[in-house]
Amino acid sequence: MLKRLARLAVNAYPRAWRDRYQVEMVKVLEGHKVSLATVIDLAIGVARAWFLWPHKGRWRAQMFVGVGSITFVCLFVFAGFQQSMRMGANQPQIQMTQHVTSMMTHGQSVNGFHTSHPIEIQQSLAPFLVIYNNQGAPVVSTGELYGRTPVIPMGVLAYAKQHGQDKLTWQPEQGVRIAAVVQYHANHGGGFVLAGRSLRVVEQGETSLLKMIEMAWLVLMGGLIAMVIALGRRRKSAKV
Amino acid sequence: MKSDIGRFSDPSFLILASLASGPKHGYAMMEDIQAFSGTLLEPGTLYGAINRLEERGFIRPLKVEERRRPYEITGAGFVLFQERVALFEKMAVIGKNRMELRGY
Repeated sequence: MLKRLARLAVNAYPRAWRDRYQVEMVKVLEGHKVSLATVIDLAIGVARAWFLWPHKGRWRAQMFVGVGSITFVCLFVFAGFQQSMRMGANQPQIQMTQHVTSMMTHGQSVNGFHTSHPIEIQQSLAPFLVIYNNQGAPVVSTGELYGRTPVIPMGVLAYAKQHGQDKLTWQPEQGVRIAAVVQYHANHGGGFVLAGRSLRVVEQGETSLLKMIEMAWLVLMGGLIAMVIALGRRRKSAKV
Repeated sequence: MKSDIGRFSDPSFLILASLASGPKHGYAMMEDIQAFSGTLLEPGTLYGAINRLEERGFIRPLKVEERRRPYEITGAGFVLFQERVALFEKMAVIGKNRMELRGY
């Protein structure tokens, strides 16, 4: 497998390089004990040859590799930050479900969580709580969507009962997206505690992040084009 | 030709040191370098350095033998090798003196 990857890496060098060194490099690999370090070393060699070796020729292939690498890195950075932001959005809800479950274990009655001023989920960014009985019927809710307790998607409570907890992105209405955490508890005959809050701020952050990544992508593309043009000029002047 | 010592990293020096004892092909260089320095040069690093040395005229390729191409050190390459060895010797002397000052 590693030997095959190493052969593939040798094939990925620029054509002019392969014309000159491929046969002997393949011969060296035949006698060499190929490890992961060999493959990584060859991959670095490929990148160096494409970007730094002045005789590689075909600028289209250079551009293709450059555009692909920059796009991959930008997507990777975006996905990493987005995932981090999305996971961070669950933290207060996790704390809330654990806190409420603990209070109920210590004798707090479900009715103690009632509120006379429920949060309007479609407008507010505040976290809210819904407590369900063991049959999945809401008993208490501190949040309302247009005057009613939002209906949780089918299967969520069953999953939480089986695994102890479930984390989900929930869209009870068009334009209303909620980061929700559901915790199963065995107190008072069993039931579920759901804590949720609007994802509006997180999604605004994601949009800003996407714009920044797009800007970075454009700047890097500009840099790549400038580099390819500069290298092309250097090659031409070297030939003269 | 400009000696350009500062732009050479260790792989280039190790290759020059290996070829200073006679022409060798890639795999023989890897084995020789590992034997005298304990450094395993992987093929990507080895051929990157071979390319840089060849393009600057410090080594030259010889005729291919059974899909293996030996390389030999050129006159300019040997001068560069001597300069680097002299630099290392000077650094070793300074280093020893400073160690003695600290009582080692």
